[in-house]
Amino acid sequence: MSPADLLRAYCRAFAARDVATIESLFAEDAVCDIPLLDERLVGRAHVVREIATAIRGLRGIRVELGAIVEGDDDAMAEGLFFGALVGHPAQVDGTPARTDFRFVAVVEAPDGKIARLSEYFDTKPLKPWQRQRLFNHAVRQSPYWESSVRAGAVEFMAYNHMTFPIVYGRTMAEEYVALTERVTLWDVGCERQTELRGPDALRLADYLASRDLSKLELGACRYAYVCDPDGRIICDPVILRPWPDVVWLSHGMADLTLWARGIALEGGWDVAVSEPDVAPLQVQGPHSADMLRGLVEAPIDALKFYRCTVTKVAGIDAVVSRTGWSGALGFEIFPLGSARAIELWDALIEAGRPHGLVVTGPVVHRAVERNVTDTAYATNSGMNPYEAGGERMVDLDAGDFIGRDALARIRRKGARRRTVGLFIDGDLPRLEWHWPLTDARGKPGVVRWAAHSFALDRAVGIALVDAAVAEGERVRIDHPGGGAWASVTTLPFVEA
Amino acid sequence: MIDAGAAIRAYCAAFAARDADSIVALFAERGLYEMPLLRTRMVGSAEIAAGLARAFAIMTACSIELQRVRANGATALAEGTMTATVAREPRPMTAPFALVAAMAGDRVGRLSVYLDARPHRLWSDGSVLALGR
Repeated sequence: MSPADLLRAYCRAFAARDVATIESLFAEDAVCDIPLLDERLVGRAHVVREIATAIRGLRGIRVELGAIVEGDDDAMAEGLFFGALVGHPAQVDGTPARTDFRFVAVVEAPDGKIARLSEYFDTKPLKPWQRQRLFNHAVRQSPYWESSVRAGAVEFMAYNHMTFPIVYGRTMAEEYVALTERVTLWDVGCERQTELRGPDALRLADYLASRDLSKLELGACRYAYVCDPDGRIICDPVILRPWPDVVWLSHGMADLTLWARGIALEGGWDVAVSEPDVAPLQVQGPHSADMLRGLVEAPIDALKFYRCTVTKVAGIDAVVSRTGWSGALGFEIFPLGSARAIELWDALIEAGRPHGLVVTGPVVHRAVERNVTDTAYATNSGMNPYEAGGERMVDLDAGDFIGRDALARIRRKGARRRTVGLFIDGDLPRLEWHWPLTDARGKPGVVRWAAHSFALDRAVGIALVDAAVAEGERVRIDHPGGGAWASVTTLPFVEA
Repeated sequence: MIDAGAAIRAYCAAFAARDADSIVALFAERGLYEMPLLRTRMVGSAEIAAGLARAFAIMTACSIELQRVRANGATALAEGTMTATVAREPRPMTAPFALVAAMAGDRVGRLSVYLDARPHRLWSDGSVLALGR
């Protein structure tokens, strides 16, 4: 094929989502420059991987070429690209999320295959470039703030009174693919530790949590609920025991340290309760162990699921646990102090480079399809562990804990509500608050989380519903996009 | 009589020399000039001159390297790299770009610059057309 024919064929195949044909057009040592990507793509495999990811995140693709000019070994064309973004909710006025732009493409093909493809277009209108202002004296800066901003963070949450970068301006597909096929780095400095230190540390943790922690071994981790005396979830920390007399409750958005401190004071426990200067990072994805192997002093492959170890990462004292918010292979790094936070970040970026590391926020699309929720799922709902689907984390027959009597009563009577999955028809608008459900009985619940599942290529949600709502039932969701029908199903949507 | 390829070369030389008059003279009376760093689509001599005035007011040096220019009839496309020193920026900026020139008779009917303005603060800081108002 001539360079112009290759360029035409590439555009046709892109619009047809035909990755195999695209692969056949490129030389093995091809390079590709696309403004939406952070770096030059080198080699056919890299080029095809990123183009396939781009195609996965688009639908309704149209490419129209205008003027094409050709030399002996090259061709250039001006064109128009149109595509709708998959998994990106419409704007609040209903305007769909799209990537439409004019471009120039240049192909060099001296040997009948594309050796270089360069695209030229302005991404300023396509990606957020103004950083959201989140300035409040009650909100602390994550120690990784500068690094997150340098990595392109544009939206933040206030989480545990700390900044939490959640949007980096990439497509949802790019983040999803990086998490499920490579490795991602998240600034979760906002994931705070309630530290219990002293002879009663483990006993107090056991009293705070509904799960039996009395036998928590050194180096073990547990996912647990902390409930109030009425059995309502306060938060759902991962509990770590990195040292014999220290327990960390690594928690979501709740003032857990205040709660634990109050309980400790009231009960006269021999324990110091504090929030130490420990700001974690998550390294999540199938290449996470490969990336960390040379950086973590302890043997990373020996660290089993839900175990932690005290070690050094890039020479920095840290606790490393094989835990995280991806529902698959991943690690959390808890540096002991934030003085060298940027140094740690930079070392992780370097170690991740050969593995295709991408800095992301929490990938909610993956979390929802894996039913990996966090404290926010239960917040402001009065939800108890039975309603949240966490019965296995309530040990009524072990020692006493806060909320035990209430939870025993709830179990005896049966929970009023339960957590279910929803297969949701159509596209999702932006989830700004919980969407009510309706059916013939009235209002049987609310959608609390919703996202596009890339694995299933459809919208899914997690809902808190009346206990009578059964699998297979159809319910109506009242959402700002005009509403949608959904089918009740089980969780998770996708196995690991 | 200038052709499309020559128009691209003339534009690049004049831009690097910060010679607004020569650039304006390349365009047809209702010629269109598109430059992402100026954002606004500029139509006609007055608007194009206003846009270039904005650019050249802050740009203290510029060099343009054209890697290739290809023409087909009244249309030419080119790719190159621009390096510019902008007074308010601590370091020179480098931007790979493509150009499309479409002739209207012996003048440029449309000259479109394609580059990614996202890493850069816009040279216009607002609408070019607000200049002097």
